[in-house]
Amino acid sequence: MPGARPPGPATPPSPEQIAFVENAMTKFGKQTYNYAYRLSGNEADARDLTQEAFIRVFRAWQSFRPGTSFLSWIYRIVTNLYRDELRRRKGVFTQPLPEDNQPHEQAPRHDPISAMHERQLSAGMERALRALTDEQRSVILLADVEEYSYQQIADVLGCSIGTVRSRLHRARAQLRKLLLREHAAQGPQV
Amino acid sequence: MKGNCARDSLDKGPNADMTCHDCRPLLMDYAHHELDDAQDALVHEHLQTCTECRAALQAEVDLTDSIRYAYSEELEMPQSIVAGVRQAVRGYSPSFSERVRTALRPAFLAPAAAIALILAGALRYGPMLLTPPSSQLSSSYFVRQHVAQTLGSPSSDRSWAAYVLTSENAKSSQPSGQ
Ligand SMILES: [Zn+2]
Repeated sequence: MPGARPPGPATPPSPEQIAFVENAMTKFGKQTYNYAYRLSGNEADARDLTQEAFIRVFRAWQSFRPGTSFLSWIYRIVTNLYRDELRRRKGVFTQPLPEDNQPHEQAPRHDPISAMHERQLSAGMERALRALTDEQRSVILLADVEEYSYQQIADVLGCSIGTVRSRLHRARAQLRKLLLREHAAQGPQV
Repeated sequence: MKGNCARDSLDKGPNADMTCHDCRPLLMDYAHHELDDAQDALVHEHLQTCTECRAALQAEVDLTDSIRYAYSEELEMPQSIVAGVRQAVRGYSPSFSERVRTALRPAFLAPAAAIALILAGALRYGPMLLTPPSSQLSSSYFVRQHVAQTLGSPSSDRSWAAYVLTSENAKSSQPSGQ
């Protein structure tokens, strides 16, 4: 039905709808924020991604299917928002933008990152994880940090289980390669 | 890279078809518990006798552990996010179709979803409970190796999904400043 959105004063959302998003923020806000933070690597983007994701949850609350994983749903929203944002902010964003599925060979960047992030990640692993493509990092986050099954990851990323498997293989191989390079660059100590 | 570890040259046992060459590409999936039961059992058997594949598996596990360690610190969600969402909620005007769907949303949706879940669970796991394990596989292995991991899996938010959609909860819920 075209032009369905009614003009005039705003109709308040239903109590059910407000309760849905309030409960979602209370129960899953922290996990969502941490996922966004690990994906983007900085707090400002994590804040924007998380806020926008919950606003989308609020608007689309009726498309959530009871009995399915809420976290998978909101991770998918965050991942898609982040992907869109990377495309939109090409060249401005703090993350590199390599081509899909290409092993990422570039040298570690020296972007300013938050003190918290510096503390959080050991230096070599931090650089290696940041040098992955966002796609590789998201599959590693979901598989190894969130401990999602391949099926759940496929749901979040909107791809097949086979793609999850091959993407994870490539991501981990690439991470190993980058860690070896880090190790070599740092000399003989550890 | 052709596998040339000890297992390849050992006497062929009941799982002789699993060589190092076959095993290595499966180790990542094995470590993530993503092999089907038959493959999982074959890899498990191979690992009993092959130190090199065990070392390769350990490398997979170590990589996962170091990734987890790197991301082990949990940040609190800034309250500005909650404030921002609430502000967007206040200024929100639902579309006509959204209001229609709200009006049509039946009160028994959550119980119905719970029943559907139970039925789905029965269909999914019922046959597994009724069917004895294949004689090819060691059932005690699967009990030991998998049940504990399955029970320990994180992020179980399904019960919340049913809970949050009940009208009772909607009425009693207060925006909290947590
Ligand atoms: Zn072997």
